[in-house]
Amino acid sequence: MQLRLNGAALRFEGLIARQRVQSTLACSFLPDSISPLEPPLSARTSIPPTSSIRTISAALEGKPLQLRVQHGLTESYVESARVKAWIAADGSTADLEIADANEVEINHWLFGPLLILALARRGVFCLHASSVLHDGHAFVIVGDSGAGKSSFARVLDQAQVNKRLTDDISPMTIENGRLLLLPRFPQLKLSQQITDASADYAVSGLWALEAAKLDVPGSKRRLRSTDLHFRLMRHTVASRLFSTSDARRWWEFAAAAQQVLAASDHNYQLQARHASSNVSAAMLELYRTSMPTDQ
Amino acid sequence: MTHTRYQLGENVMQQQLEDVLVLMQLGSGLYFELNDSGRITLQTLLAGGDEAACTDALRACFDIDANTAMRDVMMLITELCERELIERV
Repeated sequence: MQLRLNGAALRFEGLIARQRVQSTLACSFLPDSISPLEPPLSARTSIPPTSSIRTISAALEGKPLQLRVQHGLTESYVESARVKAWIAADGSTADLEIADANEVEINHWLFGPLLILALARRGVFCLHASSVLHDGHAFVIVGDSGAGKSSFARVLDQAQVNKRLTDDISPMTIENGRLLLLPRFPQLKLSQQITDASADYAVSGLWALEAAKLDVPGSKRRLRSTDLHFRLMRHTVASRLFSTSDARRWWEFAAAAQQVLAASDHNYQLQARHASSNVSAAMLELYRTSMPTDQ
Repeated sequence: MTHTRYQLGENVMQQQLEDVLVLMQLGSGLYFELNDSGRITLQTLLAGGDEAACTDALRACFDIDANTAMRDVMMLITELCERELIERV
């Protein structure tokens, strides 16, 4: 009989310790930028009087970084002394109060934690992943920072092997038993012309990249269901901000998603990741030897 | 005399994945796997069974003597409780 805890490797705590600035798009509000998400998320930003901010700052002095309180029908959290945000329980609205903010910082919040949490409340979970299109299906590429997700997707795209669909943030949901990629997350890392903003793509495979030492040969193996389930959860963005109800939806999403992906997932050791002259060739070879041909 | 009943700990999620039962504590983010015998034991407990029922359930599925089965059941219950994956009702 065995109760297995895989130690540090299976620890979610502090999983997403930072939020990247996802966008400096020249817009301050979400509806235009994330259209055609339906229903659209309405967001309001406001910069309250300085006195209010001082009050909030004083109240938060020395408190934990995250503070969840009930606020009518909405649940709010506070990320820092300068920022206060509310997201409706159904993910339909978000309010943001931020002191002395410029547009870049407002967009960071709107296109980062607020949008990701709002999507989670609609059952859409954002994986820290890139993705490519192969025979009409999306293949999602996950891995820790530096593993080569973006590089892999870019190389395939530039070589005109597979079109890149998303980079860094890949929103996904389960609909009628299918795992769908919604490649519409607003971000600057991905050129807008390589995505079809109106299309969803059925996800049929997941690649988990791991950077290997140069003297270790590359390998691939099928992921067990538990490994895949774990990776789906591990690579979900902003999971540390999830409320209990968000986390339960997240758990159910991962369980449903792993069933869809179980037939075609792959795990790579990415050889020659740091041998810059050979990266493209190595990735294309990795792709050639690993991409299923029966799709 | 009533026996001790157990339930999943607060904010513990479970999911059967192939032959493994996975558990996660939402608060700590710790992710556990239970193999088949562990799953049988836990499910028997959560269905209201006591240690003896768990032992019987294990012996119905595995070629194992009663003493060994009971010892393993007690060890698992202790560990599940210590990790707050289950709690007494």
